[in-house]
Amino acid sequence: MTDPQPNSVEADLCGLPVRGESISRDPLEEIASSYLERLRTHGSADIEFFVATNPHLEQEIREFLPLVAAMENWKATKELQVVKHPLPDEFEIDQLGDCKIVREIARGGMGVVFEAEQAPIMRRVAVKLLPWKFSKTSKWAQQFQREARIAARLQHKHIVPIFSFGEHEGRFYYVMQLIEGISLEHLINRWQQAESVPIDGLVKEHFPHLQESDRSYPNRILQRDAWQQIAKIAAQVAGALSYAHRQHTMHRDIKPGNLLIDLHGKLWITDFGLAVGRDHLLQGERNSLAGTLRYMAPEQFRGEGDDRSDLYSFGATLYELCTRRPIYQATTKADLMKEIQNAKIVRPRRINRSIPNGLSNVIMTALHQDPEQRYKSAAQLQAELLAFLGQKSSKRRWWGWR
Amino acid sequence: MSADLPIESLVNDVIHGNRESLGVLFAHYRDRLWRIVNFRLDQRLIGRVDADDILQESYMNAEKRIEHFLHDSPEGFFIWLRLIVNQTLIDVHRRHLGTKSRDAKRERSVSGAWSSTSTSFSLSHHLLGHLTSPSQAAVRAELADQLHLALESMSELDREVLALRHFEELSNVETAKVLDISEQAASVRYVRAIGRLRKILETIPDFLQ
Repeated sequence: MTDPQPNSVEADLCGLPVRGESISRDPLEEIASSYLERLRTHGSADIEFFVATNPHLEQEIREFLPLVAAMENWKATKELQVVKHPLPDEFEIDQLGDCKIVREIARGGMGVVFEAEQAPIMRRVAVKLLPWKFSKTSKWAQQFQREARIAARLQHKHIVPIFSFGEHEGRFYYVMQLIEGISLEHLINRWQQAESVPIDGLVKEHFPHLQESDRSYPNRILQRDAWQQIAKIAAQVAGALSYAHRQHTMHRDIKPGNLLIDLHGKLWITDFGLAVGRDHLLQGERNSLAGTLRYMAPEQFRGEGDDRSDLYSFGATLYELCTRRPIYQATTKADLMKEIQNAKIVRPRRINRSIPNGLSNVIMTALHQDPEQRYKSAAQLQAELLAFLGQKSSKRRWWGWR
Repeated sequence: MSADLPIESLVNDVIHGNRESLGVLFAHYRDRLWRIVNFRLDQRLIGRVDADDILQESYMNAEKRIEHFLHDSPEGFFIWLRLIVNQTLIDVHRRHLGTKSRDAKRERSVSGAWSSTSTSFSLSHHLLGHLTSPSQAAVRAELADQLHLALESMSELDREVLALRHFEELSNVETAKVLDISEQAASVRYVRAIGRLRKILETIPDFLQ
């Protein structure tokens, strides 16, 4: 049974397409149309199939279809992302502002970190280049500059100072103190394989020139499941957060990757308050950077958030330090959102019985879904940690190592 | 295109002033319209406006012009939406870039299509989109000039056919409607345009792999 077709007069009035008489299209164009449809739907299409089904046109097809395919491949909008220009795999950048680039230290979804030398003072610095390309007058550019200025005002012994920022071919970078250290993310990974990690060995892997250095460093060992040690690290973070919050600055992206330990065993928080690039991450459904999103407080996904969101992220980080597992296992944003909505976080002691109650309580309080139920402030959190440390060892100075 | 959506009856609703049906249809065509906006957006506006803003404005313009649907375009609804999006794009360009001499070339010509110069700007930018590494960036700048000149040597209609088929991803039928030519003519044009493009690209060293 076919549906009644509108007659041509009605169709005109209704704005519907009029079916004309059958037309003779160029056979190559018809083949190209089928080919394109296949390519766009499935991501690939086989020229051989079209040769096989149109053997009399084999020569023409072999000359024609490759260019059709090439046109599709060349589309800059293939990724459907206009603002985000992914960083090329190899950099040939020598200079960023007055910083002469020495080498690449690290790279992630949030950009590339270089080691550099800042003229004329010739001090060694770290430079972080963000992947997002902004036009200088855009609101993103203004936001970046605003955030960089705020971050630069923070002066604390556990916060990596920002010296300056600039722009290079549409991408923003900022210059900060170079910390010869490794992130807690690396440390946690190492702890999966080894119980004790000598810190200078690990740092020297990332800073090879230190291997030749004749400076000697205290022989610090980072032990997994050493609760005192972990609590001391946590207390340093909490102290820095407390300071920053008093300066009305949130970090917004606390996670193991942003916490560094240097050769002296001192903790540093890096990338304070620079969230402008991160907001872009949230907008794509396609991105699967759950690794950076899984420390984010639930309210931040809704675009809300305040100081207490930092406490949540802190809790998620401390959870991982203690259990060596993330609070959620999801690897894509979609799965992560589901897990966050279910809000079922396995209690730390169920993963490892030896985690002290004191630490577990700190973690679970900080990880409360409702910000009201978390600690009122980073200062309160710090006090809890100090109390925990005080119980165990009233005689040792709390910032010392074993 | 989802088989479930009763396009014809929704279009009918829209003609009778139903805004909700307009919303449904707009959402249905949104991906295709987004692609068109991205292709046509002047590079100088990147970072200042984004495709979502333009689509939002286009939707509001479409709402205002529901009653004109019959008069502007008796052809397909998607083509009508595309026209509104294009008009919105032109307005946005004018607002941000003013109407200086170069921009005058981006104005609508009488037939409602983009001017030939703006199409070739868009084409050459997007055709070189795959050259992103820093070493390629230098090459890209040079190639862009050559490619632009080469595209200018094609006929306006050939250029537009390539743009519509590949970058706006219009079908043969839709392309014919937009260019106001027969389907057969559109089909033949496409084959010839690809052939001419191939000859052009062969003259630019290093372009074809």
